[in-house]
Amino acid sequence: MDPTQALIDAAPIPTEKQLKRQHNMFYQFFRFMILNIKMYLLAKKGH
Amino acid sequence: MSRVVVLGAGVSGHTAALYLKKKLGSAHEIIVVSPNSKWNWIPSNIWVGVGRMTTKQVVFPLAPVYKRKKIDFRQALATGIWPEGDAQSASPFVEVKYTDPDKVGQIERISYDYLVNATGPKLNFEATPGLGPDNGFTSSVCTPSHATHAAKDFHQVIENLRAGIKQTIVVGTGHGTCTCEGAAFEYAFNVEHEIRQERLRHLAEVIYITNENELGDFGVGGMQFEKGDSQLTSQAWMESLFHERDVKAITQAAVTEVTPGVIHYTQLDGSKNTLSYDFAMLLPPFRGADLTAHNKAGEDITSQLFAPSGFLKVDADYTAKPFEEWSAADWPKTYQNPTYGNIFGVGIAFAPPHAISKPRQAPDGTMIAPAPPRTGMPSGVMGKLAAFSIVDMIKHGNQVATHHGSMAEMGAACIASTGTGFTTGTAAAIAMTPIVPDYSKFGSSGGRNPELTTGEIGLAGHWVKRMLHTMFLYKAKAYPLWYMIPE
Repeated sequence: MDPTQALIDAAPIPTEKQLKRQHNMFYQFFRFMILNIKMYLLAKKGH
Repeated sequence: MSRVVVLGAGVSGHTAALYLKKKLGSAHEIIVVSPNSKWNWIPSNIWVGVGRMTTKQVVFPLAPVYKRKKIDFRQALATGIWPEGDAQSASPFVEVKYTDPDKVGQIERISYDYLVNATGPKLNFEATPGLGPDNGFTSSVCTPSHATHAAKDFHQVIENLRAGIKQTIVVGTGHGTCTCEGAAFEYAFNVEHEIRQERLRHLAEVIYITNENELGDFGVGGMQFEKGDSQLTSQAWMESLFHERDVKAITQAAVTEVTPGVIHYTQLDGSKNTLSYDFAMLLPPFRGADLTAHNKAGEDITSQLFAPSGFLKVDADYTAKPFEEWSAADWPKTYQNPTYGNIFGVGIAFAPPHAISKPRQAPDGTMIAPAPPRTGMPSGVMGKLAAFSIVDMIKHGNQVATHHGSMAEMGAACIASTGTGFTTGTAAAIAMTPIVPDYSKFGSSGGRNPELTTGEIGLAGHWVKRMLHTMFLYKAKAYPLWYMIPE
């Protein structure tokens, strides 16, 4: 077996709660706003 | 009046041309030379490749935009540069061959005062026998037409799965020296997502094959993120995602040949393996455009102007040195050619001093060395920097590049789609500063600023990627206030 596959098989997977949060519309809208601010600041700083 | 010629109309060249025109107005002449008639928002080709977008949604014709902005557009392929002119002409010039249907095949010399080489990559499918959709047996998402072809092949996979036929799908890098592992990662997870949405996942095996030393390397040596009080590596993050989505992975692999239905690859430990597939999307390695250079006497000086990879030499430190001696200071800051100060190389067209990830070699000499990625954000920034430097050079009448921005200083955001859909999509949103790790500044956090290097996955990332699609098409079409949108 490829060593990477062994690492994947042993890697922890997200909990049910984490997976739900990845698609929770309210939480994700909040993250969307945060991501936009972060990216804007990154772009401004990098220019 | 000065004349600035921009070779290439991708993210970098197009950005440079628009800023040059904005800053110089009608007092100076801007000419864009590109063999393509259309601009392509490449990050969304992934969605064309799974049939979720059409080609029309990711491209637009350049000519009307340049006509509106009063930029001279020549649909032609640049074939040679004479930076000193020749016996007949004292002015430097480029030789171009028209691809415009009305002038196809015609050759013209275009003189310039300043030249921006933003020709992007040549897709080097020939490096691996059997690679690619044109003369090989694999798909690609590098161009809109390749992505459309990939979508058609992928649709057949879906049909086979619906008929109950098990399918093996392989996505990844088609050579040991490929770059853009992020794009291959995105396509693998979009394919997986589509199959899962069809409720056919149990019939499909999705395998990601890569030249990365470990998952999460992405050609930038991996990343470290701060999560609460602890640090998470991009490797651990990706291994968890691959486990969650049941995507298999083969790392440290150089694909050496593709035959119908079989991928042949060599791994770092020297093992030579084969992998059977029903559908494969493998990215090609890149090399520079086929441009030659000549001095005033007509002698070939291609090797002086360009690196062996075909990319333009700029103000980088190209001294050959071992990985342990690589430094952030090796990376170029102005993208100005050291011999000819009126020539700039930006985007993928500039020759990097070396890779970012540690290069490795299999016992038989096969290189397994991810090339450094130059994604949209830094490419756009480079185009803008070169444009601003040229504007200052024209205004002040000197050849001093005034605007600086090294990839070892600038940050980048990368939104890697892991499935599309307004409520079902997800994407890995990655931000890193700097792109090239600077261990002298950030030795304890993998060479990057821990406050500006983050990663998260979720629906929000998908919304951001979809929003960027609309925003950057708007910007590229040079609609009102386009310049307010950062690169």
